[in-house]
Amino acid sequence: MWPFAKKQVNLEALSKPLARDELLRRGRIAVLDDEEPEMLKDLRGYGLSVDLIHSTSDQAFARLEGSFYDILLLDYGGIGTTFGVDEGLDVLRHLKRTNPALRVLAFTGRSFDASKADFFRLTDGVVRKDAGIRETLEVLEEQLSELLTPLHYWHALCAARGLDPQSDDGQAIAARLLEANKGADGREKALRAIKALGTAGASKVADAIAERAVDLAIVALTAGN
Amino acid sequence: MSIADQLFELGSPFAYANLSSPEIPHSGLAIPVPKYCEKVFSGGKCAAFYRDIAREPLQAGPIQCPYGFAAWPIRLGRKSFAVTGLIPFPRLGGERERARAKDAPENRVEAKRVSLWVAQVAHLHKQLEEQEALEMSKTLGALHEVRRLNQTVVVVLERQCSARDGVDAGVEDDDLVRAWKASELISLQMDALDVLSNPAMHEASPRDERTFFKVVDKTVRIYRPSARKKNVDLRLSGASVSKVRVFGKTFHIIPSVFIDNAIKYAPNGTRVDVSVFEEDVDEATWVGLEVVSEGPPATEDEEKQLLHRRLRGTAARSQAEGSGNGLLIAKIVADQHAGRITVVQKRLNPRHSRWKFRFMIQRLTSPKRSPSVAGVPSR
Repeated sequence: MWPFAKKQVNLEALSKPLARDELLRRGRIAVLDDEEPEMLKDLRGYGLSVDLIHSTSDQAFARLEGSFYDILLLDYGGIGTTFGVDEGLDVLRHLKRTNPALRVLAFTGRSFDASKADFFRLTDGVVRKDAGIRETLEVLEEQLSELLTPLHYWHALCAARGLDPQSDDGQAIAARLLEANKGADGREKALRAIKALGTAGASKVADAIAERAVDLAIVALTAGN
Repeated sequence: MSIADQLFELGSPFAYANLSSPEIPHSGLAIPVPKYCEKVFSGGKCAAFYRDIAREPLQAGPIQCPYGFAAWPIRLGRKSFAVTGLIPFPRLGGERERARAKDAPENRVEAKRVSLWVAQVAHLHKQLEEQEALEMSKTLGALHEVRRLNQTVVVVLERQCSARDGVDAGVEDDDLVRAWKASELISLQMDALDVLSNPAMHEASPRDERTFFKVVDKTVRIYRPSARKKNVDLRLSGASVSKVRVFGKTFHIIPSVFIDNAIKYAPNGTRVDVSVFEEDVDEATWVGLEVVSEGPPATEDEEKQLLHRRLRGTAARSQAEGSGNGLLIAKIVADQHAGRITVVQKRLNPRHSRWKFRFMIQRLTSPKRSPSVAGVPSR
């Protein structure tokens, strides 16, 4: 086995799903929909952090681009044509380009003709509009357990910075994550080292993803995963 | 069977082959497959020829096959066909063609007639596909509304079940009412789907008698919870006890569409005024419904098209989701009742207009008018 591949194996070993209450505490979910979903308060009652964004012209939309959220439930219509006349589809394409860490789930009652089939193809999953509280909660918890791992955020960080995960820089980032809990200032050291790894692909989104990756690595290392 | 397949199977006057899966050509309505083709097809050259002419970019016909017949390739959507087995005039030339012309005199045809037919069927196919897509999107839009409303029903019932099991499910006071109203709205959408699927459903005259005000009043009650949720003041006023003759299954769609649209697009904190009135027009007494509200503006062109095709204005589309079917369906139902719909827009500012939607239908009876009723405030 190549020595640098060991670091991915270690990150994989580090990336077991968090405990349920930790998932609910850490997970950040956004819903982009012109109408407030009926179950929003129920999901919050279960401990999820869920924010409603009404349209692309909402100020809160910028947080989606900035990697503040882990999951987005994306409606198709009525959310604004800022990114194009195909509304949800154009927003989806934009977010996939700008924020590789964000998992986007289609949240619509529509099915589409072939011209808009890309909407379901590009999203990472579907939550039916009339799915109910428990079913929606199950889907969100499953997604969070996959997402809230150092491995997912490492991949997203490499994508955000245009790096091949197997490249020297990609592997160096993995190495820094594996040492993020060392010493009182381990977090800051890891972040500084990651940001210092070349300026190519540096951006606010990449920095935000790096912070998330480091925090999740610390949680996993501390838990002895 | 796709539209393309139907066009050929049911309407091709000429023999044709399906280039997407080459097999022995089929006879046309007027010109059969040459017997020669049936003899030689198994040799493999014909299938190879069809695969060759199916390659992009599709060439324009006539193209001569290995045995001397002419073929015209045509693409219809995702499928390719070829009109084939023909001896064209003017000839393409060659000994084989001369031999085939002697074998199959019934397959001689003027080349320009074939080219014309090929162009016409391509155009017809495009129009039929567009029509099919339009019909599909109307139905999909209505189905989307049903699912959206069903969300309320499902979630409220889930809360009720959790509460019954002793879980603090955050049941709200008006949950059951909202679920009930959502279910009624689902019914309305189903009725709209009926109309969309079968606009000719009412060929006989309407037979059901209804008190016009009661129909409107019931619709207002159905929409009160959604108006309240949007902080829109929904008011009903009017003085009429007149009856009208209607199709009981669909008549309520008209007030439903007017009120639904008004609430959907009304800015937070504004009012939707619904009123019932009577007017003497053309020596007859008509009873009508008027809905006045604020909403996003429409351009002059959009305003003209509102009732005539499935349309959502640019400003409306960016403000709220919708199927775009509502007014079109309302117009269909109004026409079925020999009623009249009018729409008037008054621009208030660049972002808002005042909209007045009116529907009128001839009164059935001529009762004495009751005293005016005060406006009913929203509850």
